[in-house]
Parts: sequence; structure tokens; C-alpha cells
Amino acid sequence: MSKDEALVALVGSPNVGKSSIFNRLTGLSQHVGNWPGKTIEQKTGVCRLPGSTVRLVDLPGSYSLSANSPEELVTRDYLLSAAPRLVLVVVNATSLERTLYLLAEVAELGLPVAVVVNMLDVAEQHGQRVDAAALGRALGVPVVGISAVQASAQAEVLDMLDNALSAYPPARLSPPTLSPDLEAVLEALQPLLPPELSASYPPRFTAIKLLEGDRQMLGLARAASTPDGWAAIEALLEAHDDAVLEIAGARYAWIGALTQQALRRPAHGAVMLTERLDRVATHPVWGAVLLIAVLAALYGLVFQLSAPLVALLESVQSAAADWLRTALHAQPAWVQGLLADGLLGGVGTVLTLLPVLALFFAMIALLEDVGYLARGAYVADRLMHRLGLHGKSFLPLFLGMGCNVPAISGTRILDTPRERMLTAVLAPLVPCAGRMSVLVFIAGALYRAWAPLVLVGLLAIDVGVIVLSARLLGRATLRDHAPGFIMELPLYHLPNARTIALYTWQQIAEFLRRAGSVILLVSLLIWALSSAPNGVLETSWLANIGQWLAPFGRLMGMDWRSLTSLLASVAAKEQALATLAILTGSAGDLSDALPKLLSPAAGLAFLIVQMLFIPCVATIAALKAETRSWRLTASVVAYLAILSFGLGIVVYQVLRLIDWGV
Amino acid sequence: MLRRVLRALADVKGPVSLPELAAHLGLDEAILTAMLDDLVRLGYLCDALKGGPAACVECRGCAGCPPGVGDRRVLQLSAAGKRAAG
Repeated sequence: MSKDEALVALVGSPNVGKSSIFNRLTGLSQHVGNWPGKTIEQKTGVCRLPGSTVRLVDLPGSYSLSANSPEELVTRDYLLSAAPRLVLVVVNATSLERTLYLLAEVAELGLPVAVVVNMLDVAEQHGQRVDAAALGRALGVPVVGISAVQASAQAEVLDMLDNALSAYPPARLSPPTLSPDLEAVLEALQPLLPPELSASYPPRFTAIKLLEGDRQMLGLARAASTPDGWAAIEALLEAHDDAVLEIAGARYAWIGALTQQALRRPAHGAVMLTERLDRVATHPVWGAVLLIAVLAALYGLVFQLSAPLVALLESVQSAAADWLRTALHAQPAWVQGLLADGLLGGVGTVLTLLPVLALFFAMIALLEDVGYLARGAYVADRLMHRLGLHGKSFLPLFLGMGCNVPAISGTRILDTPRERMLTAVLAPLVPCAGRMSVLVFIAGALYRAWAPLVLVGLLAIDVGVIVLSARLLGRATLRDHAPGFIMELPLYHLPNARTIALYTWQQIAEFLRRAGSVILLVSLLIWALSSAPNGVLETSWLANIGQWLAPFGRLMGMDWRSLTSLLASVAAKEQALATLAILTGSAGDLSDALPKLLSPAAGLAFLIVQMLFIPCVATIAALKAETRSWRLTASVVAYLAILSFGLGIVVYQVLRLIDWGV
Repeated sequence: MLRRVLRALADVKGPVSLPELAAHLGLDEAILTAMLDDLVRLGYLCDALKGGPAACVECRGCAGCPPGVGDRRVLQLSAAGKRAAG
């Protein structure tokens, strides 16, 4: 470098547009190589000013001057060793708070500084206005605001550079103010530093980095110190091991003061919309009301929109069964039964649930994609906390609306084994999509126009059971040590059709896989047991077994076929419908067959049992995997069986007493 | 200032949203977000969802997580955070 050239170091965090500025200023006069001993690119270039020539060095993007990455180390070492005439710090107007952090650290080096606020145009688009002049006044150094993509940017930066380099004395920043206590620690630490280290790095900067726990600086200090010297340093550092909080806190206070003067956020767009909507959506009372309304609307809409499609699929299934019987009329009766009743009656009936499931998953994805689901979880979390359950419990429970398996896996986010156990016990009480689709189908068949009301009522009972179970099982254990936590809530935005379609397809594909494996096998097994030994249902092996259950079923107004279908739902929740279709011989006509099988009162008991019953085997396996206890898993299964049947009996008996729908 | 954030979080029972915490501390949300990122990097806060449903260690292929669940964080005090909060 010639004597007439001024060395200027260009620094900034990643993605502040530093390279664009470097290219604009230096044009074709660039040299690209690597930093000595590193694979990090080194770019230098020359730009000409009216009174001087500048050699510009583009330093690697760095968030701070701590040795968290090789890039930060290169930047730090260069600034400390090369003594540039000026450090040109680029900050991003769209994330001023974050990118000013590096400037706060550069201020601590005491080097001459000028600042470029880039991306003013993008910030405007995000509803942020940065006043570069106000920032310059607050900082006391030259500041220019630009949009590097605009042609005028080059002249504006060159003009500022010229002024900054010709200023005498050069403008330096006032660093963040540390507390007197911390200053005293720094004063105590600096004399303990080994002379070799102090010769290479400014002692105050070194002391700050040591208190921050900078690994590279700690290694250098240890290597250069005598054993006694290092022991003294270590003792001081250990006594102030959280000093990094004060140091970083002082930098944020410094940044806060700057942004208060230079940053304006006229509220509009997505941020304003989110603030307005959240006044209701996350309100302790109105948020809960809205959540209930959203869930009720979700179930009601799924029912209303899916009902015609389910009816259509049922008619297709019925026609297919008739065609199959005609086509197979020359085949043995068992072949006709296997294909028309076992296969089409079982799996075919389950496939009529497709519209219910697709709509349900699409709506869940829609709620998530617009940003509401997180609010729902937040409101429910707070409610749960007030009811004595660990707030975070509702996060996994919310996941259970899709499938109980991830809900149980999700209990890992809870802090103590007891909380995890309690939530894992509660997770199967959240009606998963499979369970919900059965409820929608049966409610629609039995109660027609009243079905949405019945579904919302079932949901209310389910929430009540979850809350009461939480109180019962978690009594006096959780409230005292439930820690606080911050939930990040996304901005509301328009939904993305592709995201929703993809998620819905993934869920439907999983459902089809289940229908083609577990449900198919269990359907064929049920058909075989209900046909053997002589092809007559009433005298079949399954009927013989079922007769044992009949007295118990009568307590809920159900016959053995209904009870068997409930038991079969342990294989997969949708299996309940497949089994009902097989045992009533109603492939394609289950909606019509159900009112003959279940009275309105018995139907309510059936729905309640189905909603709270033992979860599917996949969920039981997940429960065992999470709790690592067969005993606890068995206890949960027993609890849910007693709870569901108990409530089913109570509901039926009460309705019988008042003589409703028996 | 960072210690104030830790103390506020230690005093809260149950969930708190970023706007609520920012209002409680009298801070700008953007600065608070940057501070939270730093507190996570320094080990005073941890993301409760790591290892949870957002990143199932043993994914059973159930695809049960709604879209976007993995994009957000649930931050809580780590052991160091609890100690620093006093």
C-alpha cells in the first residue's frame, strides 16, 4: 500500500449488503484471495476520492467481535492488527437492532468509525423508517443512509468517506457505558494480563472478552500466563461468571437509546394487523371464547361440508358391493362374503371417511398457516396453567388433534418425569383425526341436523374430562414449580394453498396406508370370525364371544356388535366403522343401518365411549416407549377403559331415567 | 438488561408472549428478540421444543405435526438462566 492510500476496513454482519457496497465502490479494481491460513475469502480494492485514494478491505461478515466463528476471528484480528484509518461499518435498516451490536463492539476498540445504513428501501417496505441524520447525531460519527441497489448509493458513500477521512480529529464512537462494578472488575483484571497478550490486544478489550468467556482469548491468556497469574485471572473470572449478561446488556441499552432516536415504525401492514387481532386472540377471556368458537366452527364445518361427499361415497360403495356380488354370483359364498362384506364393507366404509379427514386436516393446516393455531395453543396453555396443569402441557395436547402419537412424543418438552407422565396420560383423551372422523360419521347418521350440536357437546365433555383428569391426576404437584416460558407467535398472514395441500396429502397418504394395512387385516379377521363356522352371523364364533359382552353392553343400550366395534377400534380408530359395517352387513348403507342398531340414547353413550376409549395400538406403543413402563401403560389403558365405559353407562342411564331416546 | 429479562421470565408463571414480555420490560420487541437470541446462544435460555414434537428424535413417520410447528420456539430458562436470575 502506498503512503498516500488510506486503509479503510469494511465490516458488517452477514446479509447487510456489504459486498454490494464494496463492489460499487471498487468496481473492477479488486483483488480476491484468501486470508492467510484460512479458507475465508479476502477481498481488497481501490476507490478514488477527490483528495485521496482509499484501499478498501472487505472483512468477513460478523455478528460480533467474539471468536464464535473463523469469520469473526479474522475480522477482530484484522481490526486490532492493521490499525485502519477508518472502519466503515455497514448496518441493515431492516434489522437495525441486531446489526448495531457489531457497531457497539467496534466502538469499544476506539477506532475512527463511519456508518452506512443500507437497505433503506426494504425497510420502508417493511414499515420502518431509519433517520440516518438522527443516528449520526446520536453516534457523533458520519452516517449515510442508502439503498445499495440504487445508482446514487456510490456517490453518497464516497462523499461521506471523503468527509470522514479528511476530518480532524477523526470521529470516534462513545462505547456502551458499563456499570461502576463492572468497570472495577475490568480495572482489577487488566494488570493481571500477561504482557505478551497486552502487547497484541488492547488490555480493556482483552479483559472484556475474557469476562465474556471468549474461548480464543481465554486460551491465549492461559498460554501466556504464569500458573499463579492464570490462577488469579481464573479466580476473578469465576467470581464474575455472569458478567457477560452485564456487558451484552450494556450494549443493548446503547442500541436501544440509538434506535429510540433514529428508528420509526409507523404501525401498518402485517405487524399492525397482528397487534389488532391479538388483542382478542390472546386475551385471557376473549381468547378462550374465540378458541372455543373456532373449534366448534371447525367441527361444525367439517360435518356440514363433508356430509354430502360421504353420502356420495357411500352410494358408490353400495353400487360397488352390488356389482361385486353380481360379478361373483358363480363363486362360493365365502368368496362373495370375503370381498363384498369383509373387504368392501370394512375397508370401503373406512374410505368413505376420506372427505371428513381431508377437510379436518386442511382446516387444521389453514389455522396453522394463517397463524391462529399457535394463538390457540397459547390461550389454552394459559388456561391449563390456571387449572393447575403445567402450561406447556397443552402444546403436545394440541398436536394430539392430528394424531396422538406425536402428542405423546411431544411430552419430552416437559421438565419433570411427573409432568411428562401426566401429559402422556391425558394425550389419548384428545380426539385424534381418526377418532373424530368416526364421531362425525356416526353423529351424522344418528342425529342428522342436530349432529353439529352433538359434536360440539362431545367436544365440551372431552375438554371437561381432560381438565378434571388433570386436576385429579396432577393434584398438588405441578402448580408450584411450573416455570415461565416464552412462546413465539408468528405474524398473521394469508395462507399458502400449497402448504395446506401438502400437509393434507401427507395425512391422507398416512390414512390410506393404515386403511391398506392394519384396517384391512383386522377387517378380514373380523369378517372371518363373524362368518365361521357356518356363514351365519348369529351363530358365529364372534357372536359367541360377543354374547359374553351383551349384559355389559345393555348398561349402555348397546348390543354385542356395537361393543365389538368399540373393542376393534383399538387396532385403529376408524376400525370401529369398518367393524360395524361388517357386522351389520351394510356395505355402503351404514348411515341407514346405524339408527336401527343404536337408539339416540345408546348412540350418545357409544359416541362418548368412542371419544374417550382406549387409544389405538400405535398410541399405546408410543406411550410405552415414552414412559418405559408396562405398568403405567397398562394403568393408562385401564383408566381410559373405566372412564369411557363409566361415563357411557352414566349418560345412558340418566337418559333412560328421563325417558329420552331410549 | 439481559438479567432483567431472565428475572422477568423467572417471575412469570406459565406462558408469556413476546409482546407481553416486551411491554412488561418496557422494551422494543425487536431488541428483545435480539436479546433472547443472545441469551439462547450464551446458554441462559433453551428451546423447549428441541427434542420435542418440532424435532422428534424418533420420528415414527406419523406426519402428525401441523406445518410450521418446527419454525417457532418455546424459550425457557436453562439451569444457568435460573441461577443468573437468582
